[in-house]
Parts: sequence; C-alpha cells; structure tokens
Amino acid sequence: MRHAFLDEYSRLDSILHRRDPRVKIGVFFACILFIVLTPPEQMRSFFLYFLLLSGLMALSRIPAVFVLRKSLELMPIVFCIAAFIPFYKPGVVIFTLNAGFIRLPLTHTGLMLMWNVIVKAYLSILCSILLVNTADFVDLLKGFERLRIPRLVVMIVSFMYRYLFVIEDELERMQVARMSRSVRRSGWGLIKTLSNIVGVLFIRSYEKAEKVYLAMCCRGYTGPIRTLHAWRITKNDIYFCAFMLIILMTIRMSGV
Amino acid sequence: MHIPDGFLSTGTWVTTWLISAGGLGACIRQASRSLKDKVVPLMGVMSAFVFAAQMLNFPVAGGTSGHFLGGVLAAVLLGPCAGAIVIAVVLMVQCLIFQDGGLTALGANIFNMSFIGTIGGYLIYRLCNGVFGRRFIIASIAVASWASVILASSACSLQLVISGTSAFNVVFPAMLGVHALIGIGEAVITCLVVSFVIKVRPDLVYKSEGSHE
Repeated sequence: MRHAFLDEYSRLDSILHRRDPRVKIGVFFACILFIVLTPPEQMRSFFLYFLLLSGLMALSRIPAVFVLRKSLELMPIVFCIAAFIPFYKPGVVIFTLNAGFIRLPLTHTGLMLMWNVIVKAYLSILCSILLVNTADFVDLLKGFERLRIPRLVVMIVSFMYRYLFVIEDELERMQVARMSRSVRRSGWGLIKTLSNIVGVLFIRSYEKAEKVYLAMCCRGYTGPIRTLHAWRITKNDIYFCAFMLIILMTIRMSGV
Repeated sequence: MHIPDGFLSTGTWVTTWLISAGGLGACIRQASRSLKDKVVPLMGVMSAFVFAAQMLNFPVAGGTSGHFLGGVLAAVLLGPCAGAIVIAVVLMVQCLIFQDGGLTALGANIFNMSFIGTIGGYLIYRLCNGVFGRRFIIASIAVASWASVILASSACSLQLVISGTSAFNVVFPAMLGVHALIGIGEAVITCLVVSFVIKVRPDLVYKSEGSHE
C-alpha cells in the first residue's frame, strides 16, 4: 500500500548527504542548542540562523517547497501553546482582552516573549527537518548508537521503524473492511467499531511480535544484534563540523 | 501536548532530560528482567502499534475528531514499565521524524507522557482496583485514563510555568479545561478497547507479579 515516506529525500546525493551521520547529528543538535540559548532581544541572530539553515537547505538539494510545507504544517501546534504567553508578563499594557469575567492584559514584553518562542520553535523544526532528510533513518539510528545512546533503546526504535509500515497497512486494511461493511455509521456505533479495530490491531500486533521473536530465535538471536558499520569520519566531515561551529559561534558573538 | 523547542528554560529541559534518561534506563532493566531477550521485538512492534493506533481518528461531538493517546492502554495491557518504554519510543520517533515536539523538550515530553501519564495512570488503576475490587476493572480503567491525561497536562503546564513561558492562572485553567474533555474521550476508548481484549484474548492482559510468560 501507499505510504507517505517519512525520509523522502534522504537518498539524494549532496555534500550534506555524504557527511557521516554522527557528525550531522552533532552539528544539528549544536544548531538547536545555539538557537534555544540565544537571548530573545537578538533579532538579527535569529535572522542569521535562518539564512544559515536556508543555505544548508540549498546545499542539500531538498526542495524548498517541501521544507516550507512540512515546517508550516507543524506551526498550528506551536501557536496553540504560545497563545497563552502574551497575556501575563508585566509591562506596558497594549490592550486588555475581556473574556467574560477574566480580564487579560496584553503586554509588550509578553508579545516579545511569544515571538521569541515561536521563532525558536520554528528554527529548531527546520534543523530537524534538515537532519532527517539528509540521512537514511537506519544510518541515523546507527549514528545514535555510535554516540553512546543505549543500544537497547536504539534497537527498539529501529524495530518500531521496521514494523510501523506493516502495522499501518494492517490498520488500513481493517479500515477498508469497515467502510465496505458499514454505511455511514456515526456516533456511538462508530466509536465502538473503531475501538474494536484498535483491540484487534493490538492482538494482531502482539501475535506478530511473538512470531518475529520466534523467527529471530530460529536464526540464532540471543540478545545483542550485530550490524555492519562501514563508515568512518573523514577529513571532510571534520571540516564541515568545524565550519558549522565557527559560523554558529560568530552569529552568537555578533549579537552581543 | 508535545512541547516544541524554545518553550522551556535551560534548567527545566536539562533536568527533565536527566530524569527521563534515568527513568527509561530503570524501566528497560525492569522489563528485560521479565521479558528477557523478547524485550526488543515485543517493545518495537508494540510501539509501532501505539503509533498506528494514534493515527486512527475518532469522531468527537460537534463534528470534530481526535485521536487517543494510549498511555493507560499500554500500561494495562503490557505492564507499567513496558508501557512507559513503548510510549517513550513513540515520542522519540515523533520527535525525530515528524518534528512533533522538540529535541531539547523530548525529555520533558517523555517525563509527562511516559512517566506521569503512563506509570502514574497505571498506579491510579491499581489503586482503584484495590478500592473497588477486580469486578470493576473497567471503571478503574476509566478513572485512570481520565486522570492520566489530566496529570500529564498539568505536568506540562507546570513545566511551562517554571520556565517562565506561561502564567499559572492562565495556562492551568486552559490546559486542564481542554484536557478534562480530551480525557473523557480517552477513558471511553481505553475502556472499550480493554473490554474487547478481555473478551477475546484475556491472556494478553498484563497481570502483575511477573506472570507475563
């Protein structure tokens, strides 16, 4: 069946795609840290971060429309949480919102804080989109493993990634079966049917897990998983890492 | 309820990261003890199940729809530690691939939904079971799932307040009000799913004291 592939552009070939996953994880995590730790008044720094990320996006050959669409899809959630912010910070009151019996003063500092949080969230989302779309998810997981993230966690995540599509297909088949058997049922009946679908999905997933486990035992699985690690950090990786860190530092320092 | 990057103060996200990392390690040790080498395939496939189940849209009153969170469901069916691992893995994948929740805020999100929501929900479930008795298992699950959503959202609001991004008197009523409603949906769905599983495969429901084999 058809899936919206998660890491659609991760198999392109570019300077960014060729970098070692460990280096990429480190660099993008550093980007997020720098962005999050930048004081809110430094408007120019945020603009420079944005330029830097746009530059990387251009280098990676990921279509800008894709990145834009993907990042904007996530913004409603950010706005929902950010909507509380401007109403409480003490400061110059711009106007007061009368919501029934509560009076909510909207202040200048509050608005500044909201803008700051939204910008930081957006730039961080851009970072993760770039990270995920410039490396194969499997390579990324291996990178995490090499970076001393506990092996068991990485293995569970990689299993989940492997079976996600299988189980989604199962769910889709059940949905098709439901729709072909019940004509526009709604309300309580629909909720009951959907809950039973979740129940069946649980049982089938559990049985699938047991079968997978037994199949693994047949093939000599005793606990640890062995994988082939073919890649190592090259000179170009180190240059890339150093270059990015210098730029990030420069942006951070220039704002002070 | 997924907190994005930039909303939490440095102290808050570092602390919650440390707590979550430690807690997750303890949960994995605990789960490995009862599941042995089955822990990787079982937890992996079950995380995929929770992820897929969260994609199912349930009709809510007034033409809107929502999905369920599955914390208490995972805890009741798989046990508290395994449930917490499953929810944490789902959060990690949502953060990494879908950018749903920030990387720095991942610790806080795991803390809220895996530990407060799932393990906390399970404790409430056990408590209710003790008070009402085993005959009212479904009622206990209803109370626990509603409470778990409320608890997780209040932990989330508390972190926002501590970080200075929100005021207590604004964020608490709003978050709790919304999540009191979401919790009702969660309770209804969790009860229906668990009663279905009890009817069809009662052996799959987690029984405490390591009788999982």
